[in-house]
Amino acid sequence: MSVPIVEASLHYFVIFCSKLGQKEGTEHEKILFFYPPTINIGEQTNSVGISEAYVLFTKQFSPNQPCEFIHTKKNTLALLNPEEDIWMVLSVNNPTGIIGKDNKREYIEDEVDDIILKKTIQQIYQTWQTFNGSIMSLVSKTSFENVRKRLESFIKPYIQQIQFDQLDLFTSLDGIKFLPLNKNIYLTIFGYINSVDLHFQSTLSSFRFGLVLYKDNLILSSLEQNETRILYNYLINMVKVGPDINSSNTMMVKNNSNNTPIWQTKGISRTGFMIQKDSLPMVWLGGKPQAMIVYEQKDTFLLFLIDPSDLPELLFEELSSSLVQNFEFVNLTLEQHYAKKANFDEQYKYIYFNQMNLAIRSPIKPRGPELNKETMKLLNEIHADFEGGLSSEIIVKTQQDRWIVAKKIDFREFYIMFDNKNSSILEINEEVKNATTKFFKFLFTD
Amino acid sequence: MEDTKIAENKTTTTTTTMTNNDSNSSSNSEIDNSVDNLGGGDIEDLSNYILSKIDESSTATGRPARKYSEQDTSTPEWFDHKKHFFILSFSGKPIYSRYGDEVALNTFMASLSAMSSFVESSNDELRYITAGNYQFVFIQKNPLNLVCIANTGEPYQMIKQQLEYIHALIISVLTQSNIKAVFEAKYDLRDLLGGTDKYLDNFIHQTNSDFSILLNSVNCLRLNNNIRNSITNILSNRKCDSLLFSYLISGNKLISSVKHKKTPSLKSQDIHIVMNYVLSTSSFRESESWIPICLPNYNNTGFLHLYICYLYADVCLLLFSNQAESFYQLSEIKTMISKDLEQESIVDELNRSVALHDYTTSFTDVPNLLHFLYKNRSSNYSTYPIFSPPYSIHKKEKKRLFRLYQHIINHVNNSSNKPHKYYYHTSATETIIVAISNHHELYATFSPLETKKNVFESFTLLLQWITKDNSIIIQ
Repeated sequence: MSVPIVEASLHYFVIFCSKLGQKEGTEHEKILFFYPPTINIGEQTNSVGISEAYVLFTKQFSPNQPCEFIHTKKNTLALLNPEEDIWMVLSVNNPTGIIGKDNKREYIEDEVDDIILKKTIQQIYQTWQTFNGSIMSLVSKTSFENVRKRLESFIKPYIQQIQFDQLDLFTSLDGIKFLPLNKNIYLTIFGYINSVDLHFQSTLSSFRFGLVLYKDNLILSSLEQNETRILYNYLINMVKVGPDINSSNTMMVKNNSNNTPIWQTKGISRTGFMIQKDSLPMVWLGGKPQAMIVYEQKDTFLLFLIDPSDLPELLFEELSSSLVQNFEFVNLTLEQHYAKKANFDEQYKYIYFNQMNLAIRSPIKPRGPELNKETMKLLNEIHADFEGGLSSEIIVKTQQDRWIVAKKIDFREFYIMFDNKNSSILEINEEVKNATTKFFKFLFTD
Repeated sequence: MEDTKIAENKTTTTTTTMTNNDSNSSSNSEIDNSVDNLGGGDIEDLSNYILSKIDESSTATGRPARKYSEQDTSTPEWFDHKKHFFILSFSGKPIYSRYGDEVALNTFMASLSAMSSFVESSNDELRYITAGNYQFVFIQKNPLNLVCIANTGEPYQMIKQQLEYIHALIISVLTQSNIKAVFEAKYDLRDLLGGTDKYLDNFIHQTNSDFSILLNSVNCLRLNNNIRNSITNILSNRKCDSLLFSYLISGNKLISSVKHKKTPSLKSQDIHIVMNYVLSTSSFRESESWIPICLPNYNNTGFLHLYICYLYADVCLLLFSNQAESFYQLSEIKTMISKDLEQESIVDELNRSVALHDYTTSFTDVPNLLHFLYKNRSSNYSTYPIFSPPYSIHKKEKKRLFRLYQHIINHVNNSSNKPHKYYYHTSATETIIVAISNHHELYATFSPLETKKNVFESFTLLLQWITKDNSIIIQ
């Protein structure tokens, strides 16, 4: 019997500035952005008031970490205070289902995961911050009015594309897939990139290489870890380079004629610059804006950064010809490595994550069929235990006779699933040993 | 000092009911005739009696001083307590605070009530808020709000369960219908609960360390199975028309129980409430007592009548009746039970078992075992050893293990699609392995350095031992 479940969905998302609208009756002025607009202004203002009240109340006990999550029967809310006076509140409708005996539709209150929700709201801010800088610095350069407009045009499409019923462990790990390469090919690519870097830096000192991807795998990055994570996430999940490259709902940031970032779908050009020189988006990395250049050659994506003042001097044709020369030959080798990795991955259902370099490996497609709701929820719980330092190894046999083995060793998390109904815990342990030996052999001896 | 005060209160209750009984003693036949119909109507409603008591108790001099009662939101130390509990009315009127004087916390309580009413205005219910290490857990039980503020790291579900227990405790004193009546009559509930603070304090303390409450089960006294059977036979032979249940307990451990009528059995929660009540009142040790008590899971609108008498130093007989006038009848039953126990010369054996109940894991002969919890899922009876090293050495270690069990029990049970069949957890400090079937749940603790093979073998041995040893738990 299939139970009709109404999945989790967005209730509302609000960004407000707590120092605005101090006078009674002007509280609605605090709101910088609210979605969906179908909720009337009175309720919008209410939601801000309630959030502020909860923050104030919880500060009495926890002054440094006030209210982060609110759970009600119907909703789960996450609060983020990314800048002084700036608050973001994400409220999600809890899923409902026919549960219990009397066939009544009820809220499933423990399904929306705190860590995932927190990650989601952080990503909303980071995406904004990467392409626009901080909210308050933009306010000081322009005005609250301008910021409201810009939030509306930038955040709204971003919020609309988030599928709140499909956030999972991959969302909360927010890892990067690396392509394991042999030393030779790695050094060859390293050499190519170095020569491009040196060549252009001799005339334009701010020009620098950012990262290179093959499909959805990172090969090399010269950026800081968190910057790499943000741009990787943007390219994979928004622009959808990688296996979903032909997906129709791609989104990429482009600057319009007013030099304001806007979202656009990506065309299907397979070789060349993703965005032309005159509408390159700016990214705020390390506090200052830089123009982001993405070059694609079949399945290889190269990202470069340059100071906007140096941009007019950069010769795009020269850059592209030097890249074509170098990468035409590499593509084939990269494809072979990619296929080899996929081949190993067919044998096991696992997720490997290394907190140190953010490396994630898994043959399981995010939102794929191997991860039903129950497994997903269980993995979230285990991950929360690992995060909280409560546990270092967990083995579960579920009601459906699925074994899930999860280990955390130093910074590494490893999850593996087996559907051998009749195995004992010791037999499963043997299987895990075999799988990990093979896995790490594959990971390191290439 | 505190004890005497409460005892006086309760003695008044006892006498009042007994006087009633005296004046009606001529109509004993009437009681005898009103058999079997056990509907709510037969359980006497004491609303009027309760309401009349309010005026008496409100004139009584103040309640005994409690620990930390001088603290409130103006004293920084008040915020340092790890686990606060509050009870307030829907309108925000303070009823109870674990720490500090609830009247001085008036404003704070009002803000607590505002927290949940924000959400109610959109037809929703506030569950919990997380802020750093703190959790703010709310439950709404019309007309009461119960709130816990804790930084103990306990799972939300566990704190919620504790709040539900506390609510049940209040119902047991007043009944749900009386609470509503009191509110409608605009009386101050605190007057009525006068003296209940102590039970709440004790109970909250207990929920923080009691495995039987944690497992939602009743702990059994370790007793030779033949002796236990004889006792059960005695209890079931000695009955009268108004008698619903006979319980023989030792502290918070069950020796034996008998259900005399075709009526639902008592739930673990109700049994814990009664045990807590009996244990917290020292005057029960001195004489036979007769009190009205509401068992929230049995019938939350009316009272049952409970006959309490200690047969020996640590063995207490509880007889539950649906008739307010059956005190003397039950007293006779007690005398007969007492005689039977002596005649079958099981008194010595019973008292010896009471003294020797506590056992450590070494008693099981299972190698490497540090601790375990066992619950029979069909009877809801449980057993567990006392702490041995390393846990018996430091209070902190005991607490840590307790918190870990809370966490694991929550993981294994509290969610859709559960319980899990097996659960194995390792951290830097211990390995806990869990098996759950329709019949039982077993949690066993080992050193984290033990191999999986050893853990698994010991676990299998432990399960065999529990099934074989028929004294450890009521069969």
